[in-house]
Amino acid sequence: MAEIALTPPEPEVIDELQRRNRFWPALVMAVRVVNAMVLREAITRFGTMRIGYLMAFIEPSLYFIGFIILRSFILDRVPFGESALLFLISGFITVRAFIAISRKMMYAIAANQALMTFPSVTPLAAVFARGAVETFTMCTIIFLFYAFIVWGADTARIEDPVEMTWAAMALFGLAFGIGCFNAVIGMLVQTYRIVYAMITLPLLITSGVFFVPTQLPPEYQEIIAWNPVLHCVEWFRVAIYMDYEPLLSKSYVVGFAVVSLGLGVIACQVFRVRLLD
Amino acid sequence: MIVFDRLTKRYPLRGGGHVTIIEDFSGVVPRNLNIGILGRNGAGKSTMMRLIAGSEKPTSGAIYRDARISWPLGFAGGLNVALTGRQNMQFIADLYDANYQDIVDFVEDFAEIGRFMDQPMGTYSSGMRARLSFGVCMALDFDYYLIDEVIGVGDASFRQKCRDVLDERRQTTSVLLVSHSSRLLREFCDIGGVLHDGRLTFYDSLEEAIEMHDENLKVAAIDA
Repeated sequence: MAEIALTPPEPEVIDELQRRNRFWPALVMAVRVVNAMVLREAITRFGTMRIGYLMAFIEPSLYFIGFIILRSFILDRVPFGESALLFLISGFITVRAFIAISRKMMYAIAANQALMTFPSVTPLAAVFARGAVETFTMCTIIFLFYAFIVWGADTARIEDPVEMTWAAMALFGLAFGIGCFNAVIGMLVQTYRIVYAMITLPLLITSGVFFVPTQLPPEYQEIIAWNPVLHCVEWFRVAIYMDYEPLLSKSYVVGFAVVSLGLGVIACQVFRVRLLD
Repeated sequence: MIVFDRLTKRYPLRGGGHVTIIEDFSGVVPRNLNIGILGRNGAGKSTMMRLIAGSEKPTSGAIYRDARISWPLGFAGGLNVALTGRQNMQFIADLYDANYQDIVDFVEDFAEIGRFMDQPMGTYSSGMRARLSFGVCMALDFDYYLIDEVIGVGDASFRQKCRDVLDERRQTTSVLLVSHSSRLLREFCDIGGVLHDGRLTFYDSLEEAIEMHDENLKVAAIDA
């Protein structure tokens, strides 16, 4: 048998190949990949017909109506401010957006695994693309909700729109960060997805949707203060009302977002191969 | 060209130990040479493809790619079954910064699947899927085509078509094909290598590589 070897590479050739700057091409590629993935996500998420986009708005609206009906059985007093709707929206839509983004992102890698045949489509690109689509969707929905109520009801007004923008950014940062973490951990430990689905209800209840957190006894406040979504809700309320007394630590929300995103990104790189199939 | 520089790839196994796919392999793959790599199931052929494509990182050593390399063209993956053929092509055009219309024109001519272009790919037969994915890949100008058996899906006329396209571009493109079937190698390749127990060995004639591969298969059958 005549074995042959492929010519071994010459050291100079390798030196030259190693010296090439790969940062810019890689960055350009990453942007292109996420862009292509976003367009693809949007097609699968909303379909090619306009009704798809409408459905994205109808779904949380129906939830909200059901939620208002439910609430009218429990309380009839407005917890804070003059508009009951505004108070409820400040809690409900915030929590809803958080849950929608972080849960949809949890399946970002699993749903796009077939595309990872393309070497440029990495698990992280899938996470970012879905995160971008969901964030943009929820951002639009939040805007529409507040727009409807502010223009529709005289008693509802927003005190500080700039602060509200910050609150929204914190919310999206948190949802995106936890979503990224969820995407990776959900792939590695399947039961995590069930656990996460189970904690959504307690998360909703302890987020201060129905009540003003600072009116609770201090020992309860201490417990619910661990819930980062609560701080997002409170941040929104600070922006909406002039004299709202919040249970709010902005650094806690931002820290939580940064740490979970960091962990997600690192885990994505470390377990890269296991995430591919 | 593609340059392998002391490439090693190992996978850890559950409960300790590891599998070696390839160990300390160096070599330059020139253009204009169609290479076929044989290996039995589980030898790591698909991993080799993914390493070359860049989906997986080597355990040590490196692969340098001074060329446009296709994604590994295999049975599964790459195409979204919920989307239509056209939507998939749009995605690939975006991904590779290529002109969508050029791809469509080429694929319409190559794949001959007619109205199925506008149907979700879930409704395609495996042959149609192979035609479309092969067509899209050919529509993009790659220097190297990584082919993971997919040609084997099609009938004789499809394989002939693939050969015609590849022959036409012989001066500018190369094929890297992995297979456990020697028939595909004879049809498409100039030289052959065998991947076995972490070693990739090339032989100066295709027939020798095929003979070696058959030998490995027999040994494996006796072991089992």
